[in-house]
Amino acid sequence: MKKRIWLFKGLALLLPLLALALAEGLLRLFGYGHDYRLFVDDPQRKGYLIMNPHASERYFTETENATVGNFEPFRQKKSEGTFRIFVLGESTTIGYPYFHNGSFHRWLHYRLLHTFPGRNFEIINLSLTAVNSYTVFGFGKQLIEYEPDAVLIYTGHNEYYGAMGVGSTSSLGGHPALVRLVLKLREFRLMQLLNRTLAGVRKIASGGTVDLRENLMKRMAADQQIPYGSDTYQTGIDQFKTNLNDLCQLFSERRIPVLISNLVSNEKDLKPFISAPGTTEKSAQYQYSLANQAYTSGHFREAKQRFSRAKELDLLRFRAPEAINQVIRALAAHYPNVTEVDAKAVFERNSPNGILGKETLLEHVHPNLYGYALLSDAFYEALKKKRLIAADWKNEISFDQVRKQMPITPVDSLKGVFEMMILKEGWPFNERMPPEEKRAKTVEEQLAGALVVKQISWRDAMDQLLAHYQKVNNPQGALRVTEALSLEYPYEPGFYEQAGKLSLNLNQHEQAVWYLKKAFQLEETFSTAQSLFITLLKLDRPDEALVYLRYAAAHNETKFSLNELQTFVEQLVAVKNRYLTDTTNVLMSNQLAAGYLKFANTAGAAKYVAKSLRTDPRNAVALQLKSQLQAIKNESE
Amino acid sequence: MEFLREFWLFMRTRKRYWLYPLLILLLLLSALTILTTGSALAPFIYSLF
Repeated sequence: MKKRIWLFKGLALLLPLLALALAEGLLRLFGYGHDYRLFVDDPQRKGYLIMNPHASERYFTETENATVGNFEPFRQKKSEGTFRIFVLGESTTIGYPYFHNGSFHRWLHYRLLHTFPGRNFEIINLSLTAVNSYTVFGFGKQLIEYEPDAVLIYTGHNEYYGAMGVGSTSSLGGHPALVRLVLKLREFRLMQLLNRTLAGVRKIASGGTVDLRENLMKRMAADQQIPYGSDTYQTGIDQFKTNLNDLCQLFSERRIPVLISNLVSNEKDLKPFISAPGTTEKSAQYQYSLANQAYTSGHFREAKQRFSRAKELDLLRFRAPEAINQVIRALAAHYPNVTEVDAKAVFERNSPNGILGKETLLEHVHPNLYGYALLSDAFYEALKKKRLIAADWKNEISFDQVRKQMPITPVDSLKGVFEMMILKEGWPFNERMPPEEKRAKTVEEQLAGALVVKQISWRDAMDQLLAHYQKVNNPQGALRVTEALSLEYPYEPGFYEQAGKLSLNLNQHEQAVWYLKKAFQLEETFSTAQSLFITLLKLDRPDEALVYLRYAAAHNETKFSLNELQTFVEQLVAVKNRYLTDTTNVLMSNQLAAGYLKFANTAGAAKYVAKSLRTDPRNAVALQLKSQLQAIKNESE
Repeated sequence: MEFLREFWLFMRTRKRYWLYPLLILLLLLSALTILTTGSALAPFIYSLF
């Protein structure tokens, strides 16, 4: 009997666990709550994954406040030759306030695509606004099984007030092990139910009163001032160190290269949000005033030190303290596969007197478009230095080139301007909005305005902008919008094809080939193949043209036979290969010119006529070909 | 059958063996949830990030 009693006791103790398991099972069965894993199948594209829209809810107590990031699809099974990069971080990392192609990862993507035209790049940005190192750690540890070739990280400004930050979490915010346990438990639907129940109770207890945002903000500021060197200050740094260290260790064990950037903040053009009063060394405002005086007197070294000190002393910790950058440096020194990306130095080199301000930053921490370009440059140079993608970066495109070419539309940049106006009007900036100009708004301004107030989506804004540029006959503008769309939707061949054809209309043949090849890679069509072989022949690249010509001949949609042209191009390739071994052979260059002329490729013909005449200026055949070319030119004029 | 009947009787009379653990577990989970709750004001600063 005694034995049986002990058995009953044991079973009784197990029963609560069984009851919880049963409740969990029932909640799942009836579809309560959400799955928080990082990736889910892309509903639009079979075989692709996207970031789970619910993944961030785990980090927010009130799930309705959870921010949502990008949905950048990538192949479930990484294809050969693809270089896959994951990006982790916060609002700066996702390109606030521009998002989309304003973000540094898109600048980087665009530049890498053009540096390595034959390579496939998947750059998946998993950053979210308002999160900190807990989310970076939580997301990062799930990446291992998705075969990353590199992980890029930019985080640290939100350690105090971001989700699960020490300044915004009630009591256990500074205990990483406990916070991680709670985050893990939130995977269970039972915990999600408990969370929602408690949130409901809190709402009822507060009487559902709505406070003005302004008042709430002011109260928060009073409650959550974090003095330099205080326990809470240190807890924030320790929390960052623990999360980033554990993540770096995990990636190190798997030999996954990690590139972490140090952080940039506005030093010169942002006065401290909240300062200790008086004229003591501990007053942020006092340091800021002294810094300004030093700057005006041309003592830039002293000014830099004092601006930096003012930032450190700011009681409202919206800007990461320098200690965070020191943690990043120490991690890079400790783990061999972790590289520190010195974005701060890049920003300093591109700021007057090396002091960061409005030239590169919009407000306290977020870069402007130039700043995002600089941030991407810092990562690009770090990737190059580490030789991660290839040993030889021979087709490298310069920073100036990428700035000129990057498909950012006027709507994108205006959206950033408008978003800033709205942000700065409120606490803690409290800047007056400039008076509205009394003039009709341009189409770009109208679209950017509608985008800021979420009246339309970015895709709609781009579609309308494209339609507008086509209507007013602005092919350059139309091309830029189409390029922007192709960067945002890299798996839609239509945008590449359209960008290719628009480039052709603008006689940008090299660019046209680049886009058309991308389109053909995604979807083989007669129309793309035709545009490609014609353009490649114009560019005197018959060997490349032949691939597309063969496809076009086999899938011919016109009534004209392409077989004759195919035979001709095959001969042309043979002649050209022979010619390349003897470039002074006028007979062969004339043959190539005549061949091109036969199919009205005047650009190709002119190139070889010029070569013949350079070798033999009186060559009769070359002169005759030249006059034929001139006649064609006169006719077309 | 006899075993289950006896077990049921045991459960009815000695509730502390299953009720207390259940209560403790639920209290622990609730405490953890409350202690890691974000400040009610935090969402308002999210627009800054």
